[in-house]
Amino acid sequence: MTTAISADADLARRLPTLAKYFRPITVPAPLELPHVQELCDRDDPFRPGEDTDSLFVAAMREINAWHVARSPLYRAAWEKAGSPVPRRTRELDALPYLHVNLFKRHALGSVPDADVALRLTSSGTGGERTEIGFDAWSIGSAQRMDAWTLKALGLIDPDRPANYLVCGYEPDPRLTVGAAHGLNELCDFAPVASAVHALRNTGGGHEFNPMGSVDALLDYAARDEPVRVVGFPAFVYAVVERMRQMGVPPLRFPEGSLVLTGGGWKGHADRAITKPAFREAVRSGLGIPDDRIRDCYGSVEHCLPYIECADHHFHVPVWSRVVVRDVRTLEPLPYGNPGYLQFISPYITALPAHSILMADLGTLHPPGACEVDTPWFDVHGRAGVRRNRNCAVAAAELLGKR
Amino acid sequence: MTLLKHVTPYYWRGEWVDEESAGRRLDDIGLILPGLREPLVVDDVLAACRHLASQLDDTTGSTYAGLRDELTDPSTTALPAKDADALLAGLAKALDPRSLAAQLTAELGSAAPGVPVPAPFANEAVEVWQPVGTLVHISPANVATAGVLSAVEGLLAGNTNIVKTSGTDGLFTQRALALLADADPTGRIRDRLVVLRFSSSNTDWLRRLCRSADAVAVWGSEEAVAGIAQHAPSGCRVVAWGPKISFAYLDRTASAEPAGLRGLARDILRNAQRTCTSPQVLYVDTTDHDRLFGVADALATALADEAPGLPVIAPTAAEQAEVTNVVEVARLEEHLGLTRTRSASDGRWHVLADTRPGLCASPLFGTIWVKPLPREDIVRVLHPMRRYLQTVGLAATGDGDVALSGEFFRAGALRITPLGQMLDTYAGEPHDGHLALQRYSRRVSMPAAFHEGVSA
Repeated sequence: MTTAISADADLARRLPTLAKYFRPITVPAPLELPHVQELCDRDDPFRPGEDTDSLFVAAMREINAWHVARSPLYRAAWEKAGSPVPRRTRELDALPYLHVNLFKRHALGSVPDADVALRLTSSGTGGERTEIGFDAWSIGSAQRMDAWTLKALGLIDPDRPANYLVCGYEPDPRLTVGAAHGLNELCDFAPVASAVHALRNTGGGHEFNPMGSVDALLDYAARDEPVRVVGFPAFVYAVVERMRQMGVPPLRFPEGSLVLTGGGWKGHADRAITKPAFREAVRSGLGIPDDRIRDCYGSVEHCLPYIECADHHFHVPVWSRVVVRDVRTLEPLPYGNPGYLQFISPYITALPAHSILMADLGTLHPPGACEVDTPWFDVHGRAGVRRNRNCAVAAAELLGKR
Repeated sequence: MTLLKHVTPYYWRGEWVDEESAGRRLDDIGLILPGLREPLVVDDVLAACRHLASQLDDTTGSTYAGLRDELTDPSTTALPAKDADALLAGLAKALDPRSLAAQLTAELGSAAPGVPVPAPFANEAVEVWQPVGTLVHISPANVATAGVLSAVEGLLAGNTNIVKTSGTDGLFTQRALALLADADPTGRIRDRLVVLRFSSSNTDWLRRLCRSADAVAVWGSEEAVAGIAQHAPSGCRVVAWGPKISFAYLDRTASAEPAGLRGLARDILRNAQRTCTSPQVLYVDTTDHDRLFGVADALATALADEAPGLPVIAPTAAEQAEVTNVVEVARLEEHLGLTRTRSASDGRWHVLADTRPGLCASPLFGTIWVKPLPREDIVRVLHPMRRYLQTVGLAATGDGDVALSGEFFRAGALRITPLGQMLDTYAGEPHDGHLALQRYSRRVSMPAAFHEGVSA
């Protein structure tokens, strides 16, 4: 552990934007949650020690008791499930799970307002919005896991400055006073030589600027630094498509260039393309190889990061477990069967999302298919239909109009 | 049946053409109408419909088998055999010339809408219905017969019809309309029919399809309607058959008597609730949660009684996931005191009692919300959904229904029916508040002295 901490400190010295990720952080109640602290201090997501399973179960018992004591709704659900207390890994799926959509409709925090360090908005596909308050531990520990995961996957480049195209929202220049920089967090993992946003701040909203983005890429292609294209896949794809329409010949960028996407195709689902088609379009337009085009998966309610390995698998890290459940019976399914993704992780003190059923369908696979030796999943997209296949109005369409 | 060997996704006025040829001909749509010599005679359309209906009645014939194969083709429309048979029976019924003549009379005043009639408030003028011209139909992917029925209405009004089917559809619409054209010895129906299958993501084809349209009838989601509207030329009439929501209402004077709720249970279970007239919510005229939950329990009993008598229609995985998402959240909200849920052990139906009155859609497949709505609040609560309201299945006693009907119409509803009959329609019934044949026609006038010059 000492070696790891000094390695992180060394990284942060070379790349100061990393410092905030590697600061030591403490659970809100060290006496109640000692195993949560210990598990979340594990700094290598894909190299679990021998004792990890028992540590994980102990941490889950602690966080479960934490939410039972603080969330009346979770307590009721837990009691209805027979008040299970897991003693070993295979008993974890006996814990009740809350559906992610519940957090989009109700404020279900387990921490008092005074302890809220950051508020994030959770929005559903149908327009429901709820603000979720995070305590310093929940958000800090998720961010630290983010950095550790990027590090383990070799995606941090502390020494070579990169030119960024951020396919995300440009912060309001009037609100960035005091912030370290007006940049997306995805710019924290390699020094910034220059950065351009694809979604420019107009003062009253954001406007997609595909021409400016193409110009930026053309400019970057004439320089020596690697390029980092980060942000929403829909906009990365739109920029690459615009290049193709304009007849811009395929670009080439230095070795070490990276495309890192996240956030899914929310709001652009009708234009979503498959991941292999996306990577092929990016590869042919930008010359960035397939294994340097990575996607991230996560949500506001379960903000622990899942980042693709070079083979495009979302690996389950030491801090979480994944169960896949049948879409009709909700029974757990074996490896290889598609169903609802359920995430189990003790890191979260802010809300009773330590066992959460996502609205996404996925399939869990055993380890052994690639270099990272943990189970992995792929995501098939949102479970359920936004629109019924008939003339009746569907639920999601209405939610925004109530 | 040798013709069927040549069936392609592109039917062009009696010819089966390939994609390349269809792509070229798209720019000629505007040339069809000026090239036609004689108007379409409504009796010829009725006769062709009678012929096709009789072919559909012969369920052992090769025509029937061919159409059924298109509907059940696992790579495209993929309907269960039972659904395909029900759909074809429904189509045969809809093509019955007697009900079509009734629709003509109800919507255009007579079964001969091309005959001029004196204008009611002018001594020296006559009026007559004329086709709108080139009518483009954008048919939906979910109702396999919608394209055929929409084109038949277009023909009844005398139009030149260009039907676009969904990119994921089989060739049912092409084959059925080709049969209709073949059933007309004058060839005039054939000259007025083009059917093309392509995905709406092909915006180049969509734009060229709509370029010469005098009217576009579009069936589907709000996104589909908006997408088409942007391609319609200036002055083109856009007839949008958009999404609708229907619900039932239990008046405070109507006890939750088993017969009414069993009728409602059948409305819920019929066609797996996928019809726009299917109830998605049962509103109860109360503020008392105990009464609300009591009605929900009684409805659950009625559903359990009626379910064995109605065919099971299995949802797709995505549809099932939507049901589970909604039911699971409703179950969790029980812990907040907001809901109470009842489900069949096999998941065939779910009753979700919810103390919040706001209208919300059901994920269908036997899922019904039960919500409180005192009659005084009807207009206020339903107002945000005004443009989407369609059928109200009403259970009321005495003269209560008269006043309540007025409230629901004031709120935006378009049809009131008794419980158990929400999905039933009658010939010539307005569709979503409109008379379709009028939307596909122009009402023209002239001095009576010129009457002789009008071609009937």
